[in-house]
Amino acid sequence: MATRRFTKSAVDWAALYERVPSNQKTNLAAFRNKSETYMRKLLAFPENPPKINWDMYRQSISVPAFVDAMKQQYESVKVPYPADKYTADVAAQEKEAEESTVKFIKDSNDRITIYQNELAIWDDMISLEEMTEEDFLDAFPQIAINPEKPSIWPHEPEYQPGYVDKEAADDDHH
Amino acid sequence: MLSRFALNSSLPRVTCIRTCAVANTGDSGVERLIPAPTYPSKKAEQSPERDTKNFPRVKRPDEPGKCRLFFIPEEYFQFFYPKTGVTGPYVFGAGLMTYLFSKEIMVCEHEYYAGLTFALVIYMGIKLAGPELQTAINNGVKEEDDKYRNLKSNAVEVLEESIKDEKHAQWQAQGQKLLFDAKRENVAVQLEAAFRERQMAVYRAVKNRLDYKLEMDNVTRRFQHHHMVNWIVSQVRKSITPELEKKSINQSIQDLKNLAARV
Repeated sequence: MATRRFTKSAVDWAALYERVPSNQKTNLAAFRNKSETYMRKLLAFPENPPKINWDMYRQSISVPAFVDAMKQQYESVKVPYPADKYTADVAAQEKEAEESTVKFIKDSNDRITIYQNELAIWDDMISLEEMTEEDFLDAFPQIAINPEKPSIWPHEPEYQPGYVDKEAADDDHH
Repeated sequence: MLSRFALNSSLPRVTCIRTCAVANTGDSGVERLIPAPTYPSKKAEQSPERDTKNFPRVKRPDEPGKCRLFFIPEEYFQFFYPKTGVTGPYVFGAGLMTYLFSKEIMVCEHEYYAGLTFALVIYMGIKLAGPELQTAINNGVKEEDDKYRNLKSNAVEVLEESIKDEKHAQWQAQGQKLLFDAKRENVAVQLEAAFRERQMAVYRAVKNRLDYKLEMDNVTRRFQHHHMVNWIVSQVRKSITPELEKKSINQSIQDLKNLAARV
């Protein structure tokens, strides 16, 4: 199996760290930890086994035929490279992630369009100092004074009749 | 214009909108101040259908109108100029006063002098405290105006920040490729580690066998050597007879004598 042998780590952790959203940084740290464990395991073994000094053995062992047989056997053994069953999974995951990324970017662009439309509205609106009270009511019915629903002084929501403190109501449940 | 009361009631909610929006940027469900579609638009203001000549937009005057002698509006003087020239209004005023006094429509009793005194005191009050009062009031007005200006600038800031955040999130999402590169590399690292482990296992198996053989040979050789030495020594000992021993002792004594004679 003609597999490309692993030579050198090409992961730029700093770049990766920068591109991970802050709420997922702990996951990245765990992932990095795992990767480093694999790397340490890899580095525990040499890239190629050390050479066997066959001449020395042939001279010192009483049966040189045994050494020759061993040598021949050792050289004929071809260590199989383990089959790669997981790259396909990673590729599938990547494809899935790519799809979700595309979807996210599309949604995000939609949101940006909404924001830009709102910016255009703010840009097109005449300045707030030039508005009459009627204009202000047209533009912001949610915060302008409403004669149909008069408020009492000091015109804060807490002081209006029938005001219910939402936070206090929530606290009661606890 | 805008009611102070309306503003007071609206502002707490506006500040809340600002903080909520900042906390939730990047989310589609952001609570923020959105102008209604009926907002007064600059475009509509400039459209040919808008009759700005007959119905100009009301503009709030920032400064009061001009006055002469502190209380007579400039417009009154302007009204006289085409008919009477520049001295006309003063002549009219003096004539009117003369008429009022002579016909006793305006009577100079004690209240009149009290009025003059009041006018003097009010004038002095204005001169002494006026500038400070004016600054204080203007600052109050500016504060009110700023609340409205901030309404817009905050909204624009929140929107721009949201757009920036969205773009950043997109950039981060595209960074997933790096993560998958790292994952693929992890797979490669583990495969390589397994391969190297196997290689070393083969190496060790061969090496151990060779070392065992070597050690066996060494031990055998050592034993043979030892045995040979023992055998030779025992054979030599066996070959020594009493006559031979006696002869060798005599020979030794003779050698010693020779050595003694030489000294």
